[in-house]
Amino acid sequence: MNLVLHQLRKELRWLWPRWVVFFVALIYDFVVQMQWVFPFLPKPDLGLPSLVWSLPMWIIAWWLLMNVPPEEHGMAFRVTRPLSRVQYWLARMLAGVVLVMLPAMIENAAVLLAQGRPWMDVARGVAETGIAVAVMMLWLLPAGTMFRGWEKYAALVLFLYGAIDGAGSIWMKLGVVHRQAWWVMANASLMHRGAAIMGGLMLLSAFWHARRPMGRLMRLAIPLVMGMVWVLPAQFPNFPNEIEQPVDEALVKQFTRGKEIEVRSFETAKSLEDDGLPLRAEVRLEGIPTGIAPYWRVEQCRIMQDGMEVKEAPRTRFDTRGDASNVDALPFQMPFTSLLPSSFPSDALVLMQGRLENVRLAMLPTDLKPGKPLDLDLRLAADWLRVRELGRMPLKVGATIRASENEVEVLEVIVDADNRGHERKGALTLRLRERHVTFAGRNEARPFMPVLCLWAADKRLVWQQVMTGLDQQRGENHGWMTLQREVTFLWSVLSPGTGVTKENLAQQELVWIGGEYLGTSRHETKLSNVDIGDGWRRKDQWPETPASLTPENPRVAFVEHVKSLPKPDLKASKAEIARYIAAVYAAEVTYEHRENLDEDLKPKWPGNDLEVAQMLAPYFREQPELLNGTLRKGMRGWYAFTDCVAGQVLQLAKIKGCTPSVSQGPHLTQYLAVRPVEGQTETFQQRMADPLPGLESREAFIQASIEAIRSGSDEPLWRMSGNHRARTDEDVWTDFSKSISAGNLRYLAKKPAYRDKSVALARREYEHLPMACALQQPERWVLEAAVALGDARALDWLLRSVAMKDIEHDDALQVLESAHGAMFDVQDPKPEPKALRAFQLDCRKWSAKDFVYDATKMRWELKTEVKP
Amino acid sequence: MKTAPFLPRVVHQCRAEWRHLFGMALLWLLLLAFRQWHQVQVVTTWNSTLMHADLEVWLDVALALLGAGLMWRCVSAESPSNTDTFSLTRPMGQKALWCGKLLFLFSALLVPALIVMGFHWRGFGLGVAQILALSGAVILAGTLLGAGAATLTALASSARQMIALAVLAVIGTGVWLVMPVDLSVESGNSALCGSLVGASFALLGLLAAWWLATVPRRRWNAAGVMLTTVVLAPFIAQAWKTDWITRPTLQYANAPKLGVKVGIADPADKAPGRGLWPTLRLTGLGKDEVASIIEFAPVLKNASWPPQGSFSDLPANQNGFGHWLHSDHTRALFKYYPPTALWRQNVNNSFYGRKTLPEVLQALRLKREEAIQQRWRLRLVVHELKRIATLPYRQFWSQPNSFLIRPGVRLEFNPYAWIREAWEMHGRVHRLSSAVLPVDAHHSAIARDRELGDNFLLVLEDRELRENLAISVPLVAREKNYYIYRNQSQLWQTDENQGFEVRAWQRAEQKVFLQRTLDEWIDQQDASLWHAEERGIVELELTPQQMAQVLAEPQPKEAKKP
Repeated sequence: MNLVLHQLRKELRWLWPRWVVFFVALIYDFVVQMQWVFPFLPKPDLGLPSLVWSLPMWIIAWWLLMNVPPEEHGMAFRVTRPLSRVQYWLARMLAGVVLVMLPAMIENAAVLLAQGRPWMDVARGVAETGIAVAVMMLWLLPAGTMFRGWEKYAALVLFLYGAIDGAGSIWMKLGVVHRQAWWVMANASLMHRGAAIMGGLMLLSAFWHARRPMGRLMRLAIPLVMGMVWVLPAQFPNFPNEIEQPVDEALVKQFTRGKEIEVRSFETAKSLEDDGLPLRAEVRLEGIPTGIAPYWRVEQCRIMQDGMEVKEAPRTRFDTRGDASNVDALPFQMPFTSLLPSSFPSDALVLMQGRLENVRLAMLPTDLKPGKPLDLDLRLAADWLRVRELGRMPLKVGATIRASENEVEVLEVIVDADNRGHERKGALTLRLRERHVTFAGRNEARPFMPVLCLWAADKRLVWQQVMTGLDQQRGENHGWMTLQREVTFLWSVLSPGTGVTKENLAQQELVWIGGEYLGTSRHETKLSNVDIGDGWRRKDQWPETPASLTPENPRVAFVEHVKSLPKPDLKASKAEIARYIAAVYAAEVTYEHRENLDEDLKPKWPGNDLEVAQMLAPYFREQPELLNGTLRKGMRGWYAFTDCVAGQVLQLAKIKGCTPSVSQGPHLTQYLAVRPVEGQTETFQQRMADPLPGLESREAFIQASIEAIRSGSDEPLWRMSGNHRARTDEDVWTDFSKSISAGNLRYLAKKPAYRDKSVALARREYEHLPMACALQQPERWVLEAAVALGDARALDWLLRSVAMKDIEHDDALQVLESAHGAMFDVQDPKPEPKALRAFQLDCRKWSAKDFVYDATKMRWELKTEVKP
Repeated sequence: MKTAPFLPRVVHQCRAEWRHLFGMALLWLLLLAFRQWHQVQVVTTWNSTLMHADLEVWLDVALALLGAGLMWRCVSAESPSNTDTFSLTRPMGQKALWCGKLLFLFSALLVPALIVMGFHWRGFGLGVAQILALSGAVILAGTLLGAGAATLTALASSARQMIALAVLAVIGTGVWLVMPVDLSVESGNSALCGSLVGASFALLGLLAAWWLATVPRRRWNAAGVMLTTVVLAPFIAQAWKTDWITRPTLQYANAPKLGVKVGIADPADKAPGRGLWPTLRLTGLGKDEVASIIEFAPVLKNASWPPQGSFSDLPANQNGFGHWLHSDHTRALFKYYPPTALWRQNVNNSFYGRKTLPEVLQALRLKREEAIQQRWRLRLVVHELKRIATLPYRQFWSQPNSFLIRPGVRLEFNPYAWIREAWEMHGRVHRLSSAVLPVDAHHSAIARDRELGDNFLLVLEDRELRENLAISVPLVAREKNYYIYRNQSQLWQTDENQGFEVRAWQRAEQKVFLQRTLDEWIDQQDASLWHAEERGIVELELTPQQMAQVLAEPQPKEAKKP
């Protein structure tokens, strides 16, 4: 023991000047953690992860631990000293403990005590720091024997490069799914375990070097590799760590065992940014306990079409935060109100921005055969989150919530501006200071960061999605993280219909919701004949033009431009005619804003495209197959224009039964033919005026039109609708079961054979609706069906949803009309746009109490005393 | 015995240093060259392995370590503070030793840096004054850091002392950084001037300290001078208020010729003027000049101007982009293309077209009757659209392109590449000049706290179909919040890359009706680059009488006939 102490004294003599440097760094770290220097700024330019602030201190600690007197580098000195190897290493470890471990533990304790944390937390913080330094010593002490002089500095730089930059880029290049580097570094448990692996390897390297000394290049390559080894295993999503440990896996097993999942409502939607065609669907599992929600993800998906396996589009994103962290995305996917019945009333609606995303099952390649059903072999996983209310406070400066392991304080309430400092009318931004427990073994900020919701009791509305600004962090590696940031609620708070104004802000409440990751369950299912519909949109869209270049009437400008185009001769080559048609269609897209609506939802530029259609029709009549080109576009107005043009071509070709539309205006064409159908006389009327339901039927229509123009007969048009017969009740039921609607429900409710099951289906689907304000199809139709069934809660929901509909959105008119129909069932005449606008303003005043339900007619009527 | 002349002794010492430290000096040169090559490669390639390797910071760290190491080895080899060193007994003389080392450090550290950076400065059209200023900045920065390291090394008699002094220097720098610094835009340039003055002072002080430690070997005096320099330099820098960098904003030179016409244009009027609105037109603008409204609002008594709700064509930047061109700029190009061409544009996406006058009044919360009681002020910025080049579009697809806009500013394009499932052309506005010797004669106009920097229109012209697309090059904002804007400015040198990416899609109509391939589409296009060059700011006042005509009374709706 004396020899150990003797060697320790020698170590201390050598190291004390360097220790002074470490001590200064430690003091610096303490004052930074306390924000005595570099305090949080109201408007920061940079948000650094907490660890970055402590990194200088740790680098100096590493340098200190790597330092050994120069004479100890040579084997000759070491083996000739009257000191055993065990005694030597014991002394070096003791030096590490005395010089680094103990001071670091004391500093951690000081930080926690200065923050007023309980003794249990202080003890835990001290213990974790001790473990962290112990793990570091595992690799730093042997490393000391390998590097001398300037090599130490080079080794440190190479090590840091390997750890910070080297690792992530390797996985990225290899195309392997991995945790993001910053996420690994924020997870102390991952870092400790990664360091332990690396320490073992470093120890082996040092042993090897002691036996067979390595060259300088080889030795300098080791820290680079070790830096990567530290982070690489931890970047594997399945690498175990304390923070992502499931809290109650048994409970998950209990409520998922033996249950089948239901996968339904398939949809394909595509934007220009997508790399393929995302196939989405709703996944359901019955019997989930209250307060628990799943994040569904696909682990494996085998897709077959026509007996052939379809390969998914290759993924381009490989970075993740690990499975458990998926639950952090749930506030953006589902309303939390229904999970917390004790915190919010059952009819509270969440204002969710954008579409509530279904589960993305696969990324289909864009060259998939359209119209052919798919067979899917799915293995799904659900990461389960249990939420709880942490506390609530009024929406005002200084309000605070203190839970045992989390704290939040409102520092500033900013109105009409977002957290980037930009003016945004109606926006609400909060500057918050949060504190969370972030020990390696007990973390209340990860994987689920508590969500601060805004609760407006008057209209029973909840805002839960926020855009976060730059985070200013301290202390994540000390056990309690302090965080300051500005959050802006995505959906405008002070907008019409919400009932929140500048004057009543303090009457609103903030509810803080925390959560824990319960565990993951796995489910398998096979689905056959999945109809992916006609959500096909090609990638060859031209980006939208935001502003008009023609300040005058775009409808007139469109006609003028088409007139200015040099017209080819009718007998010109197909290429020349195609060039003319392409030029007209290019202009059609350029002037698409001629279809815009004004604030009263009336056409801003009244008129139609008849004149242009009549100019184009002769050319399509000459080259009818060019009509195929009209199918390849998904932009606004394109189909309506083609309907007009194709109708004119049919009229020009004098196809029997094709005449100007009586109901929709003379620019559109109706096809009306009367023919006997299998023993009975059936009158069939096909109006080209209506937008056709989808690409498939549009394809059929265009093909039939081409054939009709070529043959001069209406036979192809008749054949196209040859299967047409009056819809039977069974047809309506089939449609209804695929897509619920208030209109079909009213129809089926009158049929005794279908009444009960249609009502039951509508009610069942209604029960599954997410409590969100702005529902999209088909959920919106389910809500409307529930309204038609006389459900007052659904009516209240619909009224609030209509009240807050953005009138500038493309589908505003359609949504208002549909909601109006669901409530009042007014079919003829349909309400004018101006009346619908007034209806929306009324919805801001009305509630379900203002209506009475007429069960016979399945519609709502405004109480007499409410009527103006 | 006669002593050798001073100069040969200096050269001899320098040669001795070269022999001693040739390896490190060579490594320094190679590392400098690699770093410069890397900087260029990272911005001219996108999504490359080199970019993912993220070497920038590390190369800087390695250079700093190597530079400091070189200084340390050079000075500590004959440390004046170490009485054991051979130098004290050599027939060299401390003065010659000091000068020899200085000459070596200049030739081994600064000359390579100047050579490497000099290559980088080519192609920016910079004059002699700029090159001298840039070189001066490199020499100042290099000598300052070198003198600091050399003084520390000279003061230390052992490695241990050297480390202790280095740590103290680092702590001192840290304390300096913690001191509150005014970083507002207004103070930016005067702080830069102050930093140059402070650094020059520090350079003299540190060289003097090194000299004192080496030649007369007065360690304490040297330490005193160094400390005084280190303490005083920041104060001098902060106290300095004279700003010779900030240029004045440009006033529109043709302002006297500029006039307004109000009311509905008379069809007989052969010079109705350029319409801001149908009832408010500008006369006297040059042929290719375009006026943008910075502010348009009434001048209210006892209130600052512009009031809240004032109208602007150049609203605050919402999306992190620095492009601000609008439809009027595109329209100004119409005359250079066939009159029947079909025009589309992709311009600043926060510009949705100019508001109508009733909408302007609504934003100001004014009724017409109130509005026409006031004088109104119109602040305009005028830009002239200048064609930079017209090339076959193929040239943009297949090769990098670079255009000198004016001395110190270059527009650079990478060739198109298939990135993120789309054809993308990345590029940047590359600014390179001395930060302390302004290269521009004036400061860009500012609208709503936003600098209206250089903006460009890329116009694709389909020769056969006569379809034009004007793309406002989507430059990222120069504000520091947006990381994609790569600011590589170093001490007293502006070297900035303001990035952008242009995506290209072939038009669907050409694909589906004409069966035209992507290559055919590319070959059919010409691409022209236009630069909006600022001509200046001008303010116009409108009397209540003029405003009454601008805000013409709405026509009463005709009553429906029974």
